[in-house]
Parts: sequence; C-alpha cells; structure tokens
Amino acid sequence: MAPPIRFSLKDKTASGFWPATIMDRVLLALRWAVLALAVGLSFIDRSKEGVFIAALPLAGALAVYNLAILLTSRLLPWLRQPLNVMALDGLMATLAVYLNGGYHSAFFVLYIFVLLNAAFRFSVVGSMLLANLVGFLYIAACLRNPAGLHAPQAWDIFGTKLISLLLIAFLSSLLLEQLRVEQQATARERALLEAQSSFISAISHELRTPLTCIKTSIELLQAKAQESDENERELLQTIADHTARLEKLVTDLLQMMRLEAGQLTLTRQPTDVTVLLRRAAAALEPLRRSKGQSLELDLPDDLPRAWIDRERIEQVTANLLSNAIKFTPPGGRIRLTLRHIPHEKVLAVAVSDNGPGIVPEEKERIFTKFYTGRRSASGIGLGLYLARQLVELHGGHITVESTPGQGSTFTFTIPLEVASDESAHRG
Amino acid sequence: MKVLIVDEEPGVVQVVRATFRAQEPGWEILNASTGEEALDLIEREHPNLVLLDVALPGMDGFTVLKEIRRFSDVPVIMLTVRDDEVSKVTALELGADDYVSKPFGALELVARARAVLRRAEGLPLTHEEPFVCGDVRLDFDSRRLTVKGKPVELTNTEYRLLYHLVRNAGRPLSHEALLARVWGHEYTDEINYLKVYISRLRNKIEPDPQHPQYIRTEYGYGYSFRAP
Repeated sequence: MAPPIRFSLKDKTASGFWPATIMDRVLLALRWAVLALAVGLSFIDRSKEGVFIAALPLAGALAVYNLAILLTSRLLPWLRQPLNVMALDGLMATLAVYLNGGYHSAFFVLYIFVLLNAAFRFSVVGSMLLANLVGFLYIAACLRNPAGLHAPQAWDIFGTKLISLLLIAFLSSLLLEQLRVEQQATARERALLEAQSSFISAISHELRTPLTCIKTSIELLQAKAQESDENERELLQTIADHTARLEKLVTDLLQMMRLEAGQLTLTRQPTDVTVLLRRAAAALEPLRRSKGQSLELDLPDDLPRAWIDRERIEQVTANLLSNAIKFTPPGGRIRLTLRHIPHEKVLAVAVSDNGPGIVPEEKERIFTKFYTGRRSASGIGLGLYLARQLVELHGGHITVESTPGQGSTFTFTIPLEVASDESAHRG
Repeated sequence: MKVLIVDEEPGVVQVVRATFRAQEPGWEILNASTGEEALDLIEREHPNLVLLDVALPGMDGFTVLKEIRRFSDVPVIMLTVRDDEVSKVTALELGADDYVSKPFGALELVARARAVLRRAEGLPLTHEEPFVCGDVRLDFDSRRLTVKGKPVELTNTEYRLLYHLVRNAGRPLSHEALLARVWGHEYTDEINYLKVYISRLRNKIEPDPQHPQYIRTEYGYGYSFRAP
C-alpha cells in the first residue's frame, strides 16, 4: 500500500466529526458530490425497467448512509480502516445500481467515489486491482437486475460506463501517484535543508564560542600588558594575529555554507560608495605600510548613491585590496579606482597592482571555491570565491585583467538600479 | 549598575565578567545559564542591562526575550553566533535593544553596553511648545505622546526617534543622520535598526501603517515627518 497523501496543512482546531486532514475533507466533499451527480443524472434516465426504488428515495437512503458513516467513523474503530469503508461503499453502490435498474442506473457514478478514494490511498497497481473488483461488482449488479442486458442499446451503455470507470480509476491513480512522489521529494528536500540549517547553527556555535573567549581574553591581557616586558607583548600580539586569522577563516567558511544553503541575504541601504571604499582602504593601511607599498585613490565625489549591503561590499573591496598587498612586492604600487558608467547604469570598482600578475589559464579558476593557485602559500581559496558570490548577489560582475610580470586589475560592478522584487523591501 | 549575563557557556560568562571588571569596576555582574533562571533573576534583582545569548538550553533566547518584555523594559543586548539579517531583525522586533555577534571583542561589548544604557536614560526634558500635527500630539515637557487624544506608550528609543523626526517635521532626514542621532555614530550602517523602529512607530501613530500619512519614506534617502 502506498503511503496515503497527507497534505501538510492540518487544521489544529479539528475535532469531533469534522475530518482532520485536507485529504479527508476532500473525500467527504467528493462523497456528497457524487451522490448529487447521481441524482442529477437520474433525471436523464427515463427507463423504468428493473427499477425497484426510484432515484430520489434511493438518494435519500444513501444520504442517511453517508451521514451514518460520518457520525460513526469516529466511534467505531472498524470504520477507521479505509479499506473497510471502501468495501462498504462498494457494496452500497452495487446495491443502489441493482435497485435502480442495473445498466441504465445513474447510480453507477457512486463507484467513482470508491475509485477516487482508492487512488488517494493506494499505488497505481492497488487502485487498478480494486477497479477490476469494482468492475465485477458492477457487472454482477447489472446481470442480476431484471432489466439485465437485453435491451438493444444495453451493451453499448453498459460498456461505455464500465470503460469510463476503468479510465477514471487509471487516470486518477496516475495523477495522485505523481502528486505523492512530488510531495515526498519536497518533504525530503525540506528535511535536508533543515538538517543543513541546524548543522550550520551548531557548527557556528561550536567555532565561534571558543573564539569569543580567546579574543576577549587577549584584548583584556593586551590592555594590562602595557607595562610588562616586550617579549610578553610580542607573544600576545602573535596570539592576537593568529586568532584574527582563525576568525576570518571561520567567518569565510560559515559564509560559504550559508551562501550555498541560500541563507545569506543582503541588507541594502543607499550608500556613498566613495566613503565606503575610503573606509576599506583605511582599514588595511597598517598592512600596506608594513610592506612600504603606495596606494593611489581615484575616488570621485558626487557619484550617485548605490543600494548595497555595505558590510558585504566592504568585504569584497578589503579582500581585493589585501590580495593586492599580499602579492605585490614591497615598495609596489596599488591603485583603487571608482567610476560611474552611466550607459550601463553601474559603478565600477577597480583594484590594480604592479605585482607578478596572473597567468591566463588561472584567470577563471581563481574565482572557484578552494582554488589557491600557484601564487598563494596560505589561505584556503575562499576569498575570491566569496567576492564573486557577493558581487553577483548584488547583481554585478567581477573580472580580472592581467599581464604576467606587469600586474593585475580586478574590477567589479555594482548596479545602480535594484531589481524590482528587492526594491519592495526598501523602507 | 547591575548587568545580567545569560549564557550557557561558563567560558563566555567568565570573559564577560572579566571584561566588565576591567572596564567598569563599579558594575555588579550577575549570571544565569538558563532562560528560567534569567527571568527569575530579572524579577528579583532588577538589573539595569541584560546580555542574553540566543542559544540557551530549553527556552531559547528569543523566547526568553519575549517573556522579559511581558513585564520589563530592561535594555537587552542579544549575543549570538548568527550574524544573519533574519535573526537580527527578529531580535529587534521582539524588543532587543542591540545585537552583538560572536566572536565579539571586550572593548566592542563594553562600548555597546554603554551605548544601550545611554539610550535607555532617555533625552533630557525640554521646555518647548508641544508638537501638534493632525491627530498626533507630542509633549516635550512630559515626553507624552497622544494620538486622537489617547496616550500612547513609547520606549526611550522610540521617543528619541520620534523626537528627531518631529523636530525636523517637513524636512527629510537621511538614514545615516537618524541612526547617528538616535543610536550613535557607530550604528550608521545598521539600517535594520531604523527600519524596525520606524515600523514600530508607524504601528503606534499611523491610522493605516501600510499607507503612512505621518512618517513618510523618502526613497533612497531616509524618512520625514509630515509638516504640521
């Protein structure tokens, strides 16, 4: 038996006789709908041959039966088994067809409910087996009725009805099987996402909590160590530098995981990009000075403000600048440029250096995850990968131009117009 | 000054305690490792500031914050390993005053704590004519807000934000200017703080917060209060 379709929307207030799941409500509605359809079709059936009970009194009796099933299903455990109810419904439909004239009775539509009920609960094979059984019951009801199949058009009507029943059973079971498969796939996907999300939370906690304790303790010790000997201060500085490195690694790894899980969202706000770039450059000033490199800033004022996530764009810029500082020899030149390209409606940020440059075959690969290349002795190859992802999340592009031996220029663009679905979140 | 730190990790409690001992020796530090314990201590000890970790055993930090806000306006700084915008906005909407991501530094934590306490003190009273615009009346003498004649409760941060908006009624104020004036200069990138508080103010004074008449959004720039 295939697992019955269980729609996730459950009514928490459901109690008493009102069905709890959407599937049961749909089936309850169908139960009454087919009865109404039978009554409606009975007006077309003019033949009185083999009719023991007329359509309307029979429909009344069936309505009482439907109510009785509804009221007793919660009280009798036997009626909570779907197969038992289906058997009872099948027998009632057969009795109704027999009492209402056999082959020409409109009450054959009651079988449709039995077949749909089966399609909701069983696999295609199960549903079709039940459909065959229902077909035999229908044949028996028609043959036992005094009207039999003697009339000239009887076989045509009977055949059409039987084939229709089998077709309905087949198509509905196929459709519901498909729905079931899709629902199971969605449920699996959801479970996977939940597992991924709780893994990210757990690992964030496990990595960041000890870092908090180390980082805070170092800061407190450094504040106290002003008067202690130089050796001690140097040791503390080494711990602080390596903790910062570890923190960056943890932050990058967690950011990568959140990006891939689709959990990283941007908080855009209108920003003067010139100010942001100056800030990013200033933060790396000590590192650049320690290598004796020069930095030229070409950042025009009065450019249009851009809707960006400041933290993320600052991260991208800092990453490109720190790469330039890292790979450019001492005394080298670095340049940070900002341009407005009106016809493309973007701002373009470029970081150039006169370092060793990048060989052509590495140009695309340097943006891939965990690619460290030949240039780098440290790092795990996430910086440029994250830079590309963050720029693309903003709707921009990142590219590199380089001539080996003469330096590289990394350029990324920031669209000045935000997609309409994102601008809806502007406040 | 009493500060309550709520964190399951003894190491974090220890460094926070050491941080405040070094930076603010006069402050008394209390600690709790579960939400229940924290709620009990807040009721008994009335701390001036709560540092509340999100990941607590049993009742999580967000639930504890919701419980705190049922009976107390004590300033709360959430401590968390998650630096995503969703948890930040959730914390602010539930009534947190600030949000600090781990790993934080000692100086950053103390600076945030001081900033939150400074905001909680409220603005000095000013003897000016009350501001009246439509159904909104703000009395600077008593810091009382009435909408359609009915008094409306404001937190200190909400009052600060409304004060700056109405003092400049008819003139747009940029996101940065509002963040700097209400929260402090170190908060100018935190647009979420502003969005959450603007939404809270709108819920309190606008007849239809979805179509604001008083607090207008100046797209790409900031907000303005309607001129009287």
